[in-house]
Amino acid sequence: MNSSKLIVEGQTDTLFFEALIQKEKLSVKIEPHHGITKIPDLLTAYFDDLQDGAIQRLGIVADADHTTPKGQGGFNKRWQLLTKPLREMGYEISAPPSQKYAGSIFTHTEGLPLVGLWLMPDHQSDGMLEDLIKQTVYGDQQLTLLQTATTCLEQLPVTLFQPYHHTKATIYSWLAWQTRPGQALVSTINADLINLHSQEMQAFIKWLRDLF
Amino acid sequence: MLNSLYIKNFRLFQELQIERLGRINLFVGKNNLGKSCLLEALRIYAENASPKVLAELILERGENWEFEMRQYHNHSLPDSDNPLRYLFYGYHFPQLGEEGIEIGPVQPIQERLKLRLQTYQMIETKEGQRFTRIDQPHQSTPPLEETESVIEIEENGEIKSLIRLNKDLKTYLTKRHQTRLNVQRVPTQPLTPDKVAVLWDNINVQPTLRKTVFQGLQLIDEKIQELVLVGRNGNITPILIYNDHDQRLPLSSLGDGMTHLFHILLALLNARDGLLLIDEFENGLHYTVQPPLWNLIFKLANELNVQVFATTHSWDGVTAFEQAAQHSDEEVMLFRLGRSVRKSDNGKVIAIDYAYGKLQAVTEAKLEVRG
Repeated sequence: MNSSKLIVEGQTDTLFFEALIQKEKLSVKIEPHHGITKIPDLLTAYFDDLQDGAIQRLGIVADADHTTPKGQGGFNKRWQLLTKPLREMGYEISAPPSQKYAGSIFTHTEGLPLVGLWLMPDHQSDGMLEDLIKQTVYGDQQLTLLQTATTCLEQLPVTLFQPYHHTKATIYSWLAWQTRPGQALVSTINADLINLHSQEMQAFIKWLRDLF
Repeated sequence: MLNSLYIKNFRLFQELQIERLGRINLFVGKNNLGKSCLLEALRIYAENASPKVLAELILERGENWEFEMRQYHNHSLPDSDNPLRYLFYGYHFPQLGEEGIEIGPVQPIQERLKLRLQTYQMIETKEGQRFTRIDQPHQSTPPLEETESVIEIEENGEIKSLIRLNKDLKTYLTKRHQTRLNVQRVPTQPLTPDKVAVLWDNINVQPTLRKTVFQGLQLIDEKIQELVLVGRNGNITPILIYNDHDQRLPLSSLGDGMTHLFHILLALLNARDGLLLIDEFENGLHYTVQPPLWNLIFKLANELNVQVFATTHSWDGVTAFEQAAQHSDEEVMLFRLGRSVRKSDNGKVIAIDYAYGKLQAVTEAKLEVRG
């Protein structure tokens, strides 16, 4: 059974990408993984299956995150972390793309299956999946609600979350005020809250289609 | 015990290299990737590639068919149609003297057995006639009709035996030879009654081993008390005796799985200090009985110093194996056979080793091990 796999981070992301894959009618198995630091080990484990075509195509979607005081996270660090094992396996890793919203697809010197990488939100900046979602919310009502959430956050009596989680807090607040309050990220696809035809989403979908 | 395995130019294997083997080794893979061939290669190695074992391999697979057909017509077989060619990669002989089959460990290379096609002839010497290899056949003075094609079996520069292509393979079946390692097999077809009788006799005289067989059978039915063999002269029937009301049943009435289990136990308990080869481990066995059976095999293999090689094409079989392996201290290894997609490999069969740590990462992501 030859399969195409998309490695994603965590359970919430899984539902989101499963819905997107289904909507785009792609035949891909989503592989959730717990923690970006585990992905390099998983890649090494998958290397054998790439060797005999048991995995036909492999994709990785992860948050670029932000640079922490300890120096972890951020686009550059994540790029290094994830491309290093691929380079060691013989994949040709060029420099990161020069424009936003252009996912990477790597070829192998010896013809092993293609491997793709997209670091959220736009495969160039620091950030996370929620940033991409924020960028593609559409409809007047929704945009008003989103603005309300942003304003709300500025007026909080006490801010417990870190600055780099600002978008996450915004999005989850906004999700709390929907027709069905408190739904997970996947509802942005199922309830049509984000514009899949927007430039940004189309770029991501194009990367998925090119890879799989 | 074999620490590693190297097979070259044998049947489906262009070149297969396994750097590390364990005490227990399970091979999984799609059909026609060479799982059975791998067991054959191990059998050849254990028997030092004797003419007898090579003849057996050909005859078991029915690859002697061209010879059988020609016998009736009294035509001699040209070399290119000789049944022994089926042993070589691509099912044809290599060029004379060219690299032939190699089977053995990865290191040291000197311990590998090599099988090559050579030309030999009878030469007159002072001591009489001698069968000698001709190294430059085109330059030899005797006409080619007086030369013979021969498969030469060599190890570390020493010629161990020869098989003459123009001889009926059946004549090699009774030829005695020196084995390297005790090897016991559980092939896909059941063992013959004669074989069962021989294996049982060895066990029957050792009470501890006899009891172990009964314990093994109890994995399927705990009411089994013991097993006896009745009959003689090729008509030998194993009978199960139950502990309630002296109930007696022939083993065969319990289905193929029970017989298969019995044969595994017979072979394992006769394989002391040697190899046990099990083809299609899961034959007739429900997935629930496989983990405890594996646990029993791990224990006995350790006690009797047996190295086990088994094949499976069932996903349940792999899961059952993993289950048992998790709780075992034994060196247990799982390999998947697949075809390499690397351009330089030309689609050759490779063995992918699922080392335990990797198995963890992979089971976490629920990878399809069977491929």
